[in-house]
Amino acid sequence: MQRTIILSLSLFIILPFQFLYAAELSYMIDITYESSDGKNEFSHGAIDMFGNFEISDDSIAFLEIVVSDKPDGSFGLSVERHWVQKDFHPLLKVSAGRHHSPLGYYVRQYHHGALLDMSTARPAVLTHVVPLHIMGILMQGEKKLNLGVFGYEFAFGNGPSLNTNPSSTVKFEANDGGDPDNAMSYILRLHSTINNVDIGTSFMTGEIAETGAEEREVIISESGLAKGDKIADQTFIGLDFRYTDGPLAIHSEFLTSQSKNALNGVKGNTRAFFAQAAWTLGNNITVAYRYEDLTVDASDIVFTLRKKSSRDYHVAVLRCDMSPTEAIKLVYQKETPDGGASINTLKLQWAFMIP
Amino acid sequence: MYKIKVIIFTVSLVWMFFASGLVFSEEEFVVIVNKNTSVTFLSSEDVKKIFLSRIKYSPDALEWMVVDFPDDDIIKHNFYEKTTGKNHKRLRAYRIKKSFSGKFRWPKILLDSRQIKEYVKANENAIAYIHRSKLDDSVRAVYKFLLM
Repeated sequence: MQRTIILSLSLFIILPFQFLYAAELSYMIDITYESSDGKNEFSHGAIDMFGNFEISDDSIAFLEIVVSDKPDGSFGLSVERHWVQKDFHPLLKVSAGRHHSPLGYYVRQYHHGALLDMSTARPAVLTHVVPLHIMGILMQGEKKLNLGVFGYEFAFGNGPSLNTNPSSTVKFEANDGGDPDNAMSYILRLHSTINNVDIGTSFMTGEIAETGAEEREVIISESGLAKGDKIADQTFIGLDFRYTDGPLAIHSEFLTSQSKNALNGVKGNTRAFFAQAAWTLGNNITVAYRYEDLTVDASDIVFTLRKKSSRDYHVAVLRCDMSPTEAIKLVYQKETPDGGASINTLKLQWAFMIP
Repeated sequence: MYKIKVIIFTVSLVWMFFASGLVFSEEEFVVIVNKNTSVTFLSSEDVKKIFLSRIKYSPDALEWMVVDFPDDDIIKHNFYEKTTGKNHKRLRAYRIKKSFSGKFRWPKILLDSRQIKEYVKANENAIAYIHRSKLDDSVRAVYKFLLM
């Protein structure tokens, strides 16, 4: 069974690869060795295939497909981003498709592509908390004023949903299609660049619906919810800050999510925060430290259904950029769940790009 | 005797080659902009940052549109090595990494100096580079440099 799956995935990858190669995709790939309490293993991180293409003088298209390994040893294929954008005016660029959610800077700018991450992966708190994608429409624009550059991003699209069937892995889905309800999510991000400082603020509102069964059939899940039932109203507020000056780069983001249980009206408030400082020595060596904190409110129905719990992370990084297209990173990570024992992990990653 | 003649001939040929300036001659190129822009001069650092998309906006608050020769044109290779210190591979890798955000616009590729000049003349936000001999009153030169 596993061989069949792998073969099918390979064929699926090769055929579109040969078609898309004419459009010049690039690839970011990473291999990681990880050693922690009771664990020593190599892992194939992800093959991230991407490219943006000029369709006309004022239209571009973007495509990103990621093949990544799963904990069970199989590979998963996902279309991370695919959108087409038309530039009507510097203050109005409209794109349609699957986007990174404009919730904060990191999610919007990267969130895949290990070569671009300072550490071996993005801040864990972002993975735990933020709906990373939105399928719909994104409008954006920017204006340079005397003080600096000011811009906005506004997105609306399919709302996220949760499969609450306890016998299934509770999956949080962005819903590319087959959205189980009619509710839309709305995201607004305002940002500015003044000298070396970038500041952003984000706001998202929407409903979390019940996905139903794995196959999206209309059944009642074991939790008593049917496909399309509202689980919660959810609101995000975020702040992001970046400062760069020569060898110094500071990046920090804060996100707070308020969820209101649709069944009993109980509200919960979950917060995520990270702060990272990096210093580049010479041209190639960078040392960095990142602190991350996730505080999950036990009353927050969304995050308790997603089985998230409070924890913090200390991450120390020593990075060597051997060339613009490859980097070796040595990372020490200490993860401490609330009330639990710390997990110390040492990681060595080779991240590279095939341009 | 035959060998001596060959040596003399070879040395003469090499000397004439060098003396003609074909090997060491440098030619003058200019960076050009639209005549309606307020830009009249750019420093070497400005040129580097604009062509690497590190300066996104002109003083007129327009987003710069960089115009390039095709990838296989030696002028393009020499220009970027001279102004940015990046060879073709490094430049391509740099731009691809920037494109990952989805917000990067690739430079406009045009085939020759005539097309480039016409494009810059028609677009207030365009910036490009051509041989000085191709310069005329339809565009404005804001930076001069020598290329092999």
